[in-house]
Amino acid sequence: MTSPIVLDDVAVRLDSVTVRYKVALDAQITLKESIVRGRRRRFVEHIALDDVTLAVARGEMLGVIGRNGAGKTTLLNVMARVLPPTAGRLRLRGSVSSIIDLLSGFHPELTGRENAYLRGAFLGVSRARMHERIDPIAAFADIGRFFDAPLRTYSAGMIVRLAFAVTASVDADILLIDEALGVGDAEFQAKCAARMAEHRARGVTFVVVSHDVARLQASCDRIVWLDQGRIRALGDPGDVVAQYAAAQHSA
Amino acid sequence: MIEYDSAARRPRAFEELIELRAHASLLHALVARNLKVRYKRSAFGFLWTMASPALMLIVLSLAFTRVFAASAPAYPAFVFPGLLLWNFFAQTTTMSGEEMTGSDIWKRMRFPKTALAISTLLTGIINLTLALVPLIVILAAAHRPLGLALVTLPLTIVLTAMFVLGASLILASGALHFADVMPAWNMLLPALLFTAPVVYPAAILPPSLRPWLQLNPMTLYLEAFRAPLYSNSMPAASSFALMLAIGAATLVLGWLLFTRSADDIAYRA
Repeated sequence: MTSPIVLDDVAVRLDSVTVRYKVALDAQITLKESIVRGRRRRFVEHIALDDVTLAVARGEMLGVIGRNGAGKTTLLNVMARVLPPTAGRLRLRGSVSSIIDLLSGFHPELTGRENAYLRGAFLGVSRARMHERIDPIAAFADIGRFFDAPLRTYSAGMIVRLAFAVTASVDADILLIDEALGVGDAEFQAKCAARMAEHRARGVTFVVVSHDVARLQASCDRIVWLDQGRIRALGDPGDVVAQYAAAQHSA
Repeated sequence: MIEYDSAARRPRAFEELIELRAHASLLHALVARNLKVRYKRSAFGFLWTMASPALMLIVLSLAFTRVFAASAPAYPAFVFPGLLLWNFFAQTTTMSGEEMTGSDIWKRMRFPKTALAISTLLTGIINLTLALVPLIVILAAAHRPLGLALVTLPLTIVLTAMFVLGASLILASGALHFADVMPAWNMLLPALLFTAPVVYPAAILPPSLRPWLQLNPMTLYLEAFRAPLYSNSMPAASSFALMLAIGAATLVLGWLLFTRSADDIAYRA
């Protein structure tokens, strides 16, 4: 089972974090409608994360499982500070880098090389650092001459490779990864796993969302199971996965 | 070690400045992207940027050179500087408004969102500066007196940029809340052009109407930009002071409005 966490060693800490989305029932209201008819946009609330309290230790690898819509990506978005919590508190210790979406920050007309610089800049990497990293990124992505061709000529798998290559090269203390995005072929997966092991050896903290439950069970220190925005189970990978599997079968 | 605590955040307007500093390379990368995307696919990239003001210049010159012969001699030399600065204002506000509301990139990555507007502005400044070359050629061909007054141009451009950035941010915060703000702005812009002395000299208006032009803040910047180019005269110190006051006030207002609403936008849409 997990050992108790000393506060000093916590990289990510969520206290009673709730995320309530407003889901619009109508299309976006126009200024005209707002003035002329005094119309307000109608929303229904959707609770994507409900009172989630969670601490990720420095150097830990936490897996996140759950059905579609359970709040996995929202959890990553909160940790990445893309979504400010509606209620509750988020504390981070260390720099954060994330891959939550494949295409964000990429431009179809730019080459892979130019897009790597752009994505790196969005992630807060300095230009000098990107100059040092660009060759390793090209090698990691391993897409040959396409690295200098416009992104619009890429296959989906090549875009995955480029996006992961950039994120994998960033020196973050905390890495947030949504693997549900797809991770390319077996060979590239092995390469990603090797790179993750290197990062882990350096003490990088990982939070990984995946549908590949067996793989998470094998590689994570702990697993959290999200269900309708709440934590259903948190702890030893074997235990949580067993509970998750049992619930899937009974459902 | 970087620490973050959502319970101890600084005011948003200030937090944004700190994040911009940490993302200095982002401005560089975005400007490079804007220029590359525009200039890469066609050998005539820069010419395309110039196409709209150049066409306007030709059409307006054909129509008005004789009409304004007395009030604005060498009319092409009168109208071109104004067109370029107006184009800078119109393109920057439109492009940053559309970029900041048209994509959902900030729902996926954490970065200072004002960087999108600032990089659009910097791109506009580069295009404006490049356009000074054909502008000076035309002025020289029209035998306009060019001289020392030109040294005021960089200052005027910087002050105009302050105002334009502020206007872009105000517009973007409106567009974040209402879907029709950007279409309305696109509709309004051509009309606004005629509320400033771009196409016609202010002198043709009856004296009672002239003060109304000042209601369009761009009037001030246009006249300060045109004075050294068209008549080799420096704008008055008071006019620089006013440009600074209006520019700073607009920028501060835009910054506060935008940073206040930008955080919540990940929740909407």
